[in-house]
Amino acid sequence: MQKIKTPHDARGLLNMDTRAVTTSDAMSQRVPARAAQNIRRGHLIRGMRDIGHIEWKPWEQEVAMMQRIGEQQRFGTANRFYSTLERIQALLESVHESEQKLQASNEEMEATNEELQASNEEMEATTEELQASNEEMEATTEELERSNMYRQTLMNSMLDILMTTDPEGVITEVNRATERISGYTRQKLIGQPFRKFFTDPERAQAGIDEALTKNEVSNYELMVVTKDGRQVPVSYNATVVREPSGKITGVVGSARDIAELKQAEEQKRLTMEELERSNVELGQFAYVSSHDLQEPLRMVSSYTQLLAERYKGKLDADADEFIAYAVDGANRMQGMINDLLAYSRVSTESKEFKPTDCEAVFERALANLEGAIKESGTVVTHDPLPTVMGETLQFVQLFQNLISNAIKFRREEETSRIHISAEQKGNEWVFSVRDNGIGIDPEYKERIFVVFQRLHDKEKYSGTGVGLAICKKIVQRHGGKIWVESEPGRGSTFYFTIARRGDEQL
Amino acid sequence: MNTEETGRPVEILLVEDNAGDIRLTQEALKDAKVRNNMHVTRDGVEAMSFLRREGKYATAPHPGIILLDLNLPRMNGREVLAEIKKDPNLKHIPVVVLTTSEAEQDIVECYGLHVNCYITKPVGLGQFMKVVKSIKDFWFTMVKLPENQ
Repeated sequence: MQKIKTPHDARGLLNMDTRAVTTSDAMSQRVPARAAQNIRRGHLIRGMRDIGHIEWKPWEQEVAMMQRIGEQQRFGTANRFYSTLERIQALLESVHESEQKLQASNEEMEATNEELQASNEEMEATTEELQASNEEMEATTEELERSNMYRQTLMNSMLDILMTTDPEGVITEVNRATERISGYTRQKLIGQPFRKFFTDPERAQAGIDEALTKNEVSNYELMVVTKDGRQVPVSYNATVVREPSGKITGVVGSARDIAELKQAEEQKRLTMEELERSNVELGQFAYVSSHDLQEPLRMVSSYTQLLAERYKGKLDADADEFIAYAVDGANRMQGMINDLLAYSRVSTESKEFKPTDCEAVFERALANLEGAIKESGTVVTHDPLPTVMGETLQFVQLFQNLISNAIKFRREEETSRIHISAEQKGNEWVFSVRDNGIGIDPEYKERIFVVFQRLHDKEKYSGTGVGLAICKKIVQRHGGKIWVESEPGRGSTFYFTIARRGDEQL
Repeated sequence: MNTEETGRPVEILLVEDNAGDIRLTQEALKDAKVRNNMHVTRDGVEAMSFLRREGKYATAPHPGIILLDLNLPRMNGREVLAEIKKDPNLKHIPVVVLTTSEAEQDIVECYGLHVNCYITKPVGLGQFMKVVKSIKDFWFTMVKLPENQ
């Protein structure tokens, strides 16, 4: 143990072991036991107090001073420690406070967070919704595009002009055919007044106005003026376009290029006219020529007859024979001309068709043929006959010709029988005139209806061969057909059809 | 008016352009034993001159009957008929239209112009003779006409 003699020696006192030894040494000698104990226990203050009772030796004072200095130093250290503690305390408190604050703000943040999350979720839902509606919109847009394309294709596939205008008649859309026919591009046409492209703008505008007032216009004929100045006749059809509310938003019109149609129509009209004219001419020619032929023929006939009457037996036998042939030829020619006249009259003397009672017609024909019927002993019977639309006199002639034909071509070995009947077939009447005469070879079924066609020599059967031709012409004039069915040697049945009136009764 | 072989002959104006018909009418009248003086003009203008005693017809007799064809050169039968029936000096003369025309239109028109009778020339000689005889029997025998002025 080292003895502290000078302050310098006290330096080592900072070493607690040294100090403890020293202190205990001192205590054990001069410090009351209690104080020593205090000192030992470290109660420095109490120890110091006790130390005051000690009679200090100078070095001890120095030591004490040193000790005090040390104490003070320790005290200061402690103080510093405490103040540090306090500061730590304060710091801790502030940390705590901060922590609390933090927690509060944390809680607040959490709430905000929750709120945020909720709003986030909401937003997500909205986003989803938005996305859905977006998809929907996309689908709709696509659909719209598709239908737009479809509409465009539809419009463009049309061979006819198709265009829409606003209610004022300004073009809003056109199809390709419009471009093709007019020669103008779509861009040039849109925005232009519709009427501008026609020979008669007022009439074109009137077409639109008519559509606007009457909802639609059809087969309105206009003449388009094309870009290169050609004129194209079109048939225009238009309908107004309305909003669901009923408000008119425009007019959609289509126009067909009818140039070819017009040309064909014109051609047809000309052909028909030509045909009509040549038909009339032919009819007139037949009538006039046969009429005018009668004049010189009358001379031939009259003077040969005069010759025959006044000079028979006064010349020689040859002269008589020659004159006889001349008279016969003139007479026959007269018969032919008369029949030809009758034939041409069927169409030249046309009268209005009137309801014609075929029963009455039949009776008249029979009355006209009374002599021939009696003479030949023919039995003529008939079923109920209808009333049809026609020319009564021509019907009389038709019946009369057919009946007299049947009488003429009867078979001598059997009583001649003729039966007339009429049967409804669809919208027409089929008349039949059946006889039990000599019949007709099927080979000649058609030829018998041609003018001047005869199947027999004139010695046996007189006549010019016009009767059935007249029948055919009469039936054709009434829109019907005539034909014959026959079994040679057994008889013939002549059929002809006449349109039903619809209200006739038997 | 008298006929047959007695009395004055009938003055007849035949308006006809066809020589064959003129002769035939003469023959028929001869056959019907009509004592007549037949005057012939070949067209309508001539006929009117005859009736009005113009030019070479200044001394022409006033005919008792006119036989008129319809188809004539220059002035047709319908025009002649209309002229006659408009003329107070001529309208009392009986006019018999003797024509080949059977056209309804001609018949209606002629009666509208006050023709006294319309006869279609028959085709056969026999019928023609009969027609002329009928004209003679009716107009020259049965009908009482005013005395010639």
